[in-house]
Amino acid sequence: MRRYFAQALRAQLRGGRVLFLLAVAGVALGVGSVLSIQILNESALGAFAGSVRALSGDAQLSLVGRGPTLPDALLPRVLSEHGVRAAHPLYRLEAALAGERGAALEIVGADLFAPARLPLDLARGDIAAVLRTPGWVAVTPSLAAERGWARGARIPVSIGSRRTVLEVGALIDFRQVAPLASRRLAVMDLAQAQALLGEAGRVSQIDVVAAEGVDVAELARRLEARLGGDVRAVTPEQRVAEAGALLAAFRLNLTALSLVSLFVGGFLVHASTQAALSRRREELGVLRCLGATRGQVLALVLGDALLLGTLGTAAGIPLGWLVARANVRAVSGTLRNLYLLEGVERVTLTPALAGLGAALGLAGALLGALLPALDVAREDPRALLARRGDSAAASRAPRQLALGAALLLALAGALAQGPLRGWPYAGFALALALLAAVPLCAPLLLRAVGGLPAPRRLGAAWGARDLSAHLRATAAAAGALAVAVSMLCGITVMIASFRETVVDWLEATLRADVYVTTPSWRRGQGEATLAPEVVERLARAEGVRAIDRLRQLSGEVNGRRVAISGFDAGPALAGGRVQLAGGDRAAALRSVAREGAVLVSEPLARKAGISVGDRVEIDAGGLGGRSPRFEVAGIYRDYGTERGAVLMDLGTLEARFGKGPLTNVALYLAPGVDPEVAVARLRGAFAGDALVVRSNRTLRHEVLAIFEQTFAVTRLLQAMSLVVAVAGITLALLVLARERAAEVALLRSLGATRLQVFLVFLGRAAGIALCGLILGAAGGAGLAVALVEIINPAWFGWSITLHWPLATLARQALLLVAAAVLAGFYPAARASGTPATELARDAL
Amino acid sequence: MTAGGGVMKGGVEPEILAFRDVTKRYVLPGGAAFEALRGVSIEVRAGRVVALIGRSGSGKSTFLHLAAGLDAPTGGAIRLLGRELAALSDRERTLCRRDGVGLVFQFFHLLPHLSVTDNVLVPALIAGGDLQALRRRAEDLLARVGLADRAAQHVQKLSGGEMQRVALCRAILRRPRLLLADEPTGNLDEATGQLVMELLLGLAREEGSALVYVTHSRELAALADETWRLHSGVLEAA
Repeated sequence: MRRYFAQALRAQLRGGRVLFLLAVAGVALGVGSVLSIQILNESALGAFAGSVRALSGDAQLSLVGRGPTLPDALLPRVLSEHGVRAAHPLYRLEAALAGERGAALEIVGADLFAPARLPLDLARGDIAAVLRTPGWVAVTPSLAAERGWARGARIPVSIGSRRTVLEVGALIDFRQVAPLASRRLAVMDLAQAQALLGEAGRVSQIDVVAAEGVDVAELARRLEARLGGDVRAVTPEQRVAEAGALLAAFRLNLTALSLVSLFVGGFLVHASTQAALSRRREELGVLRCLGATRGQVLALVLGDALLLGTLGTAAGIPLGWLVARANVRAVSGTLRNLYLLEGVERVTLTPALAGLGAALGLAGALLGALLPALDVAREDPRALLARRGDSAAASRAPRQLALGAALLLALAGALAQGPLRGWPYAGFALALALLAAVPLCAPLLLRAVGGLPAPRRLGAAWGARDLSAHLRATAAAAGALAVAVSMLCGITVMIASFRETVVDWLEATLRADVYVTTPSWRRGQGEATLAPEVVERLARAEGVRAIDRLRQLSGEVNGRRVAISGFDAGPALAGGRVQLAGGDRAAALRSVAREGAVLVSEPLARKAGISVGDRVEIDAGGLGGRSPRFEVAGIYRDYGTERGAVLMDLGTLEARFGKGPLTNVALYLAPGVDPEVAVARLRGAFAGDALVVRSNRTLRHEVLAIFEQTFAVTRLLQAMSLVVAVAGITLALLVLARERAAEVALLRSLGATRLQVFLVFLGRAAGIALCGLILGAAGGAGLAVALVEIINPAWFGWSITLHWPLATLARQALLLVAAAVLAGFYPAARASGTPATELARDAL
Repeated sequence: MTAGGGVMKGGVEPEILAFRDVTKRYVLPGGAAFEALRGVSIEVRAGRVVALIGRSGSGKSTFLHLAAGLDAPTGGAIRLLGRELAALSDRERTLCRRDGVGLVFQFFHLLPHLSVTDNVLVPALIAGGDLQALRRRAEDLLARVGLADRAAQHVQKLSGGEMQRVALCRAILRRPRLLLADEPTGNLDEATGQLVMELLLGLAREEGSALVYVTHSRELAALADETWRLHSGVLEAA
């Protein structure tokens, strides 16, 4: 049978190249889509893990504070602990590169003289230079090459509003030890980093190397007990796992979306297999009559699918890598802006990921082919030999399938609202049920179209109406398109709703005319501050009527790292600049401004299970493990970060955590002062300070640009699944053109013109597109509600107001119908070229 | 031998196919039943040539399908090559057909993507075995039906008569003990049909296969050792 398989395959490829290639392309796009997301997901974590590995090397533990830093005076106590072989303090901070928005160095202050600690080979002269040269820094070779830095190059940077200059003293190639380590890592001498840029006597972490044979978990417990409540001992694996947990929602969301492409790709394989089987019924009937077993027939059909899957996978894997590479910047931006993690600089296709892509591609192809293969293997050999159409067999199915879809949805809905309510995956289960139910309704809708009054002339309308006679070929294409449209529509509504909600939030919260912060504020720790004299000068600047102050620290609430912000609570709350999602506004205002209560951001409240009236412990370090407790006066809307944040009055912050410099200032201008003119003037006046000065309008634009960047990958996934689905239309129509060659030949012999046949096929394409659109719109509406009302709150913690962008949806629908009609051109041209003599050939 | 309750003479050759009181009932859409075969009993012994005649819808094709194990009777029993078909699983019936039965169809059912020789070799490709030897046999068979010079061609280029000759070679390739032919000349003109029939009979006799064929033609039926008529599902001597 193997020999026969090879012969039959050759014939298949000769006879249906376009069909075969379309199915291969479907698998390739599906695999590419899933793999690209997995590569990006892995690379996102890999970048973080790479930096941990590059800096912490062989350390089994890192001691970190609950606030941003620890006193370096802890070091002798760490070293004296039994079981500690070595301890290495590190001071980390982000320095913005002058003159380039968003470019930064991740500076690490380290003990450069510790033996074999970092991949830095310093000659004796260099050691002297490290100590002698202020701002001595070692940078990675790739960054030096990119920016044209040689030894001795001077690099102007800023930390907070302070400017300083670093000097490239050496190159340090972290990728020798951690290939995914950030190329923006830069190393300085610890004392220099503390003195020049940060706080003397403070470190970000102390890496601990345990002596051989020591129980690391036990050592961690002892160190935590000895060093007090301000210090946590975590393994590198725990740190990576924490970053993984932080990214869980982001990764899961993208993975789920990418799987839709694979799902649609599987449909294509299904359609292609059905097409091939329609053509091969007689062949398989003969084989069965001549003694081929059902198993042999099944193996024959699945063998084809396996080959198709193999080719699709072979094309899909490099495609996935290319797509991932093309999206590194967008994902990296999201990681840096939204999650404050290391950005992804390059993507790596590991053998495990390639294996995953191959497994998915082959499984998708086999699963897509399995049902038709089982159907044909089960069929009576005589029925295979008889040339029957598909409508008779399929006529009973549409109602049953639609009923099955309704039951599936009802079950999923009941579970989501009942026993599974609160289960984080319930929303995904409901969305999956919806995407599975939508294509099941396609045959019923197509049959309903078939029930429309017959047109008076042969043409497009006739073709659309005739779809119901070929359900086997057309229902899969309409179903696949419906799934892709559901996703397009659902995601479009979700993004639009999210965008509108963010715009409303910006409208309510951004009331000042000008916003001032430092270049490294967003990702910086406590060091990215505005010098007090800068704040004073800003308050006195020409045209400035009033200022709002904000000071941000990082700390922990319920073991979660959060941003703790102190602001002028009275005016902000009274002016509605903080939108409350929970709690009474007047009472919250009173409690926060006068009684030292706090507001908790929505994501934090949802993820940590915090409610209004609860008391939370906030740990920002530096208080010897004594964590102050605060009453939660309200839950506020915050779309700035998924990490979670706490807001309190600036007076409360200073009283509980000590005085300190501000991180942000908002300026209110006197009436009649043009904000853009004021911004230009301030930039000129503060040229000697590292400040980011933005007007209200510019800041909004930037926030929305970050928003768009966050969804760039999502949009790409949408596009990929749509391409697959539109290819499905071409495939279905090619199937019809081939299968129904005799029917077309009959029409031609009865006097139908080529144009009429062409229009019949275009009508079929439009009919499939309209059915896909109708079902997709219904599915998309459901999906949008599931995404907005269930998945987003459960996974990201944000509440979103549903908004229907009708104009955008209408535009997409028109575009889709146009694409579908275009997809019908080639099969229509093929079909219209069918000669009347095909009638005779059909008798072979 | 018996047919329709009558008594048929038996031979000394071993039994190849035996129907005992076989009934086949189809349920039509709407629930009404249609009996295609009613109490059919017949025995076919090795080397015998049996012609089956009857009008359209009389049950001839049903008879052949049951004989080949492609379908199961509603009542009665069928023994093929010494095995009770009712006792066999679908797979066992398939293997029994593969190894012991050759089928010839009215519409040839050749595989258009294969050459003439490869079409003849399809049973060998399904069952496996010494392909070289079977290839030589296929060439020999093609030579015997006058198609040696067409062996490498694709079957689409053949005439109807040539196609049916290829189908005959395919059916006989693995030396089946029973050949079943469903109106093998029904799609051919009279002269070609006659030629194909002579070849079919010749091949069956040379190979020692029993042959049961269905035909509308009294002339072609007369070429058989015995002829039976199916009338409204009842088998009777012609």
